[in-house]
Amino acid sequence: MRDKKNSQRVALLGIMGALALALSFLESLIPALPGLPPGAKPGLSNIVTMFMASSFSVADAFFITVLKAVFAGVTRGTTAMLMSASGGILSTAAACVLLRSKKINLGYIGIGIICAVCHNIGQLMSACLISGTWSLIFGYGPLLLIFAVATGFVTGTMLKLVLPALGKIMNRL
Amino acid sequence: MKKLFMRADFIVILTVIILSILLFIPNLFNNSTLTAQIYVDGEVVEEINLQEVEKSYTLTPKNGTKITVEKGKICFSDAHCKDELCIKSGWLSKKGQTAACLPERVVVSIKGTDKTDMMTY
Amino acid sequence: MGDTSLENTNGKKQVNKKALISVLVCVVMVLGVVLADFVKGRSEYSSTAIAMGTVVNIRLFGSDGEETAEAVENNINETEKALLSWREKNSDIERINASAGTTVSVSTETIDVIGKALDVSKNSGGVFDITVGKVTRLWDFGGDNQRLPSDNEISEALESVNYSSVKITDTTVITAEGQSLDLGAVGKGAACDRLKLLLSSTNTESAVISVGGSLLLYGDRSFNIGIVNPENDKEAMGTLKLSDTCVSTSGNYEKFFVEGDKTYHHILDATTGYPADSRLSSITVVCESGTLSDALSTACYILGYNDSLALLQKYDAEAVFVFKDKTVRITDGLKDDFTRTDESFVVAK
Repeated sequence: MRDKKNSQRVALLGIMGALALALSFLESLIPALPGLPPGAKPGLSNIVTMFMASSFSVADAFFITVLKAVFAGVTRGTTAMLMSASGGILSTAAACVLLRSKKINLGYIGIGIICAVCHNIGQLMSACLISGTWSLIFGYGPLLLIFAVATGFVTGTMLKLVLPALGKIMNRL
Repeated sequence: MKKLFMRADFIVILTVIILSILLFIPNLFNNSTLTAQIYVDGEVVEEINLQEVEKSYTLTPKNGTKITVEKGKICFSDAHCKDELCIKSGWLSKKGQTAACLPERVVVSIKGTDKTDMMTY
Repeated sequence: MGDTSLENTNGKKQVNKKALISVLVCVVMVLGVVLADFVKGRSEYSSTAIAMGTVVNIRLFGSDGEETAEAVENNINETEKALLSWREKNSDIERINASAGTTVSVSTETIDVIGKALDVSKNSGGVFDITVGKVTRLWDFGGDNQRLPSDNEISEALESVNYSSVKITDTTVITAEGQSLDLGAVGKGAACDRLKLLLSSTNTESAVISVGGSLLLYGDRSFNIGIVNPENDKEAMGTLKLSDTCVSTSGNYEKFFVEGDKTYHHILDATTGYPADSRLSSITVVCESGTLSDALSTACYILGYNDSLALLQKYDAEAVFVFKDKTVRITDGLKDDFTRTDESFVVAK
């Protein structure tokens, strides 16, 4: 029985991974928005990492994060991989801490926003390292943060909506 | 399962917005740094923040070559070279602009680039 | 049975977790190495120097920036003094000119430059001709004796202009008696070609170097190259996003003088001996070889838009033509890479 649960868990990991990559890919089709650094996307695939962080193990959540980064690297080059990795690792770490702790009194929207902000901060750091100047923080920072509030709102809400359904699937396993 | 929205979430949103405003402030001051560099024989001998210049003044980085500095701009005002191309370059006031007195080996250029990494001419 | 299966699956769960974590660690290490390599390739060293009678702007990305910049300056000086300048005593070109009519041994690098320049001379129908030395010396643009020569002087000097009289082998050159080579039009581009070789032996990942406006773009990194506005010779009228290539511009605003009511610019039509009468104010050529981009920019300025297209194609080169009426025409391969920054210029479709 445990074997079955294990293999179904692995299968679900695979599905989540594929979902994360698909969302990532769809997002990459969105043209660069003016005022935001090239490559800034709503971060919908973060819904998957947040879900992983809340319902799977920490290692599993990071696995998806790394998977996304490698995918970005293979399809869009080293810069994309770096941006995805830095944003993803910071965001997933935040998600793991916030979603798995019962003591933190934040709603899903608040958590979604914090994860989105961490994601953008990670990406901004990478961009600064790549271009060799810290001035990007002041150039893109303000708009990115506001953007993160909006994005986090959406991902947090969607997570809350999706969790009950996914929870049912998990329990059936 | 947690709730969708809690009171603490307001604080999160507020904090992010305040942070965003704080990061924006330096932008209002940033555009006022226009740094001019004066090279003599390939070495930087002087760096001037043109926006901080109050009164115009003249520099003589090398005998015979005079450079005039005003708020936001700089130019060659006198040179012993024959063609005086350096003086004819006029005022430099934008990032990346350069003027040079080749015979005297003096170059004046404004640091940074606007949208270009290098000019072809 | 229940016990052993529990033990097994617990063990399996441990293995799964360990496997995931070790994969994670490996990937993070790889990312770390990639990041370090990336950061290293992005550290910039810039400097400005004076060489070959012009301003040289150097931007290097990689390591050992300071040493490499110095090597770049020395290399350019060497290109001028040992090889190409007709003013330098004992340079290859000076020796060829001093012994016009006899065979002279020169370096293979000089042969390469002459070979390319001769090729363009031929394919441009002679409007660009490296044997134009006697004529350019009459005008002496930018020199101490800059003046407007008489018609007689020019037709006399024109007699020595004939690229087909130059014969080269792998190591020797022979020109006709009385002929004078002037590689001034390709000197900076040739310097760029030599710099490309130099950089490959250094720790430079990528670079952009301007030798008096002729550019070398080295490495994978793409750069925004500004084409100067012919009206003010200071600001960019548009930018080209390029990498790993050479760029040259010829324009009527660089060296000129006014006499009477006419303006005489320095791009001489080698078939007439006079400044080319062109509808262009400038042309920027992008080509893998600097020598070629220099030669082509001069040739195409003289030929004008229509006659340049076939010539450019022959060398796999692209160009941006800026006309005197401020319209801009761009060859197909470059259309997507050009961005106009000055609204007063109109890009033709």
